[in-house]
Amino acid sequence: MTATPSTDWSFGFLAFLNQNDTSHVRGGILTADPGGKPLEFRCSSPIRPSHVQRLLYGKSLLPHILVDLVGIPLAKSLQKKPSAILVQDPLLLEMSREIEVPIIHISKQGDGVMLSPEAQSAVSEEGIITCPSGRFPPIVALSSRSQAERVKALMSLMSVFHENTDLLEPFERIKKALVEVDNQKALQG
Amino acid sequence: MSSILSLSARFAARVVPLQPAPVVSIHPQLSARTLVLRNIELTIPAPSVDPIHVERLQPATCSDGLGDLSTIEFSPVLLGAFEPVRFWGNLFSPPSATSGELEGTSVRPTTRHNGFRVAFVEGRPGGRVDAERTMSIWDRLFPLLQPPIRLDFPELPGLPNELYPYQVDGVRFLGGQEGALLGDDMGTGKTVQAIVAMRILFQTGKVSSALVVTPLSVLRHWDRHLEFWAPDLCTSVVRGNKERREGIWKMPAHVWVTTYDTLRNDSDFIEEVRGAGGFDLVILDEVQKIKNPETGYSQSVNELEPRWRWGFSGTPLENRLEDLSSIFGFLKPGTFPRFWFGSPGEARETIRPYFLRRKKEDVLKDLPPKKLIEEWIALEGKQREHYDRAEREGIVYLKQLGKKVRVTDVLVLLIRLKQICNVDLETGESSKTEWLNDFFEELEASNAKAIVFSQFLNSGIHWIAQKFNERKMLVYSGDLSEQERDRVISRFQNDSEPRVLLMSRAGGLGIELTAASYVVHFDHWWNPAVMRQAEDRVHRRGQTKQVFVYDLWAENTVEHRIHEVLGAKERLYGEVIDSLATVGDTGLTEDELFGLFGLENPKKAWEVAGQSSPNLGDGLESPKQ
Repeated sequence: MTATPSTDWSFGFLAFLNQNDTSHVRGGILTADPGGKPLEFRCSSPIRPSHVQRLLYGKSLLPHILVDLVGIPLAKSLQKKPSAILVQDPLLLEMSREIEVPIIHISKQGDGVMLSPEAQSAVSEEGIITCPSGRFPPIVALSSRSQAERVKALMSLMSVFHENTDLLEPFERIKKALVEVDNQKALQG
Repeated sequence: MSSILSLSARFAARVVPLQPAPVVSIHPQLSARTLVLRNIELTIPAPSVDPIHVERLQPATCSDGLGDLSTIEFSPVLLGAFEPVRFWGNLFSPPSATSGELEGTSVRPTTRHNGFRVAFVEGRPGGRVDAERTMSIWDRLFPLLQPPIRLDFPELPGLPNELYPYQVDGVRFLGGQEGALLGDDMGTGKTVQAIVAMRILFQTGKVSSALVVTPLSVLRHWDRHLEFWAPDLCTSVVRGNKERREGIWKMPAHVWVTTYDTLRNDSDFIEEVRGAGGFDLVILDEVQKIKNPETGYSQSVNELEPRWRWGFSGTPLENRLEDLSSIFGFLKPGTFPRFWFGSPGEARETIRPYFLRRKKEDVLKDLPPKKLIEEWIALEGKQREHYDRAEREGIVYLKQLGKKVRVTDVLVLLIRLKQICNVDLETGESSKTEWLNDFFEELEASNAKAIVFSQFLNSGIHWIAQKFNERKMLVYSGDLSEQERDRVISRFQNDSEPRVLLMSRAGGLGIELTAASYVVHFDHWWNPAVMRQAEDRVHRRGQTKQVFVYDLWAENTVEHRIHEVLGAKERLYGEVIDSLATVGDTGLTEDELFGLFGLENPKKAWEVAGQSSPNLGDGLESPKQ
């Protein structure tokens, strides 16, 4: 995919609530324009695995929930597809097997990313995105090797976005919104 | 022995002879365990193995989206012969409004929701149309999904306009204080700072509900500023009769705006509806209204228990110790003990961390030389009633004239309605005068001077002079002799008092009024260029002060429609009038004049206003030309 110089592009941001405690996991996806303004938002019903399910699924539970049960459905539910979907958990790079739109993992430079030995071979580092004005910290972008070429072409768009809005900031908005959803009990799992 | 034998013999026929010890063998291929005993078979039933049924985790259900948040649908709805009321298709909860063609109707929007205006239409023949609005979960999410407003950079993305640097400081101050008093001079934008700071609190999840309490004269001012600066917040303006107010208090919103009177009258109901918690944030505009702790205003305010409490005032409160005690009794309880014996200086030191005041001259370098401020005033009570009646009857009369209707007839109605917008002479009610009352108080406290312009006498400058006769004002009008006019100008320019000059259009070119730093247009001349010329008496060479110009417009009246027509022309043509194409000095074409009342131009011969004085009847005056 070739990055376009126009402003008619957007990024999706996928985030989760209660990710580490798998008793109750809810996800949300927000697409934002180059200025960081929201374009579309969707959230999922909560996934609540039972005790037995947690035992039997074991280590495969978290990837299964994040990727198959929440991430992929949310990505598919978007009305208007973004140029890429940004994520903060490297597990979610697995979404690329079903989602056409490039999945890019981003993190603050220096934070380090925990990758399993299997994942390390499947992931490629695309580079560092910096903010010329220094307002926001440099960001490291990773993607799965199968999407590497397409993601490389998107690096310039990510730089444009990062000039106006911290690429890591929209994840916080999603989490706040998910807390509000939980509080309102609007969606029943 | 013999007994045993005999027993044996007796039972000999029945006793089964003892068998050898059983031999147990287990056949491993059998699921059941079978103990085979010689001549005895015992089968131990196989244990049942119930399969544990583990339900597969199902994919999550995804919510309906908020759709394209960058666009808002627009569907104009025409209600009667008046201006269209626009209902924006709301992304979160589409309105269940019903509407239709109505006649003789005035539409008064009371509630705004993310660009969606709900209209409560009252007092019409044929019944009432009420639009309902509910607030869904998406309404709560919308502010949280907006990009953040950052205060650590000169530019604040996410705002419709830039703030001046001192305003950014003010926003930062408010955002960091759960109890704060902002005492900037009037005209410096306290409302804007409050709204931007409030918006940040909503976006960061620190508050989810807010109450703004204001004097009646600036209620609409707040509503319009909220619409402009925080369109993502759902706002309800609480006014009207008791039944209507109760409905509005119950309707979900982010922000409620109301007056001190309404708060006092509805305090029990608010507690019933909102509970003990009430609101997360309470903003008190003109906070000196609660300087007396014994009043109903103070008591009703003190019943609220918000976490965040901000007060605003343009008067220099720091010099009034007794006022500070009551005000900070709400803003920061415990600041002053019940019996305070400290000096004013000590009081100032005590409140310093929670008090920010900038005078105009402090921030002058950030402000443009002349600042235009539109103030939208809502007609209330009898004034509203009489205006509506006069407009209704006037239109009926114009329609009855049919093809005989002339421009003069329209101008006559126009003038009458503009006069009622100023003051309802039948009852003396005047929303604009109430605004002036608050304005004069701040003016007095700021040691500043102001000029109030009006095109009318009886319902303009003479009315104001009589209403505020205790304030000593100077009047400059066409009925003064030349000497008297010169004396008036000289006194205003050179004497410390009076502070207010009331002026008709007779104050023409060449007069210098640089002693003033505030200008108020109580009403508007036909041609806005005339108003700008009037301002230039104040804002001219020799002026050393920042000049603030207040334009008072009566909302949902013919003034409102004139404002829109002239505003649209200015946008299109870059200048307001083309005298060859407009009716006399009105700035409006014939079609536009007729259009103000939903009438079509009957294409009769032109009759330019001013050629002969229109017969208005009822002792009403023509405007001074």
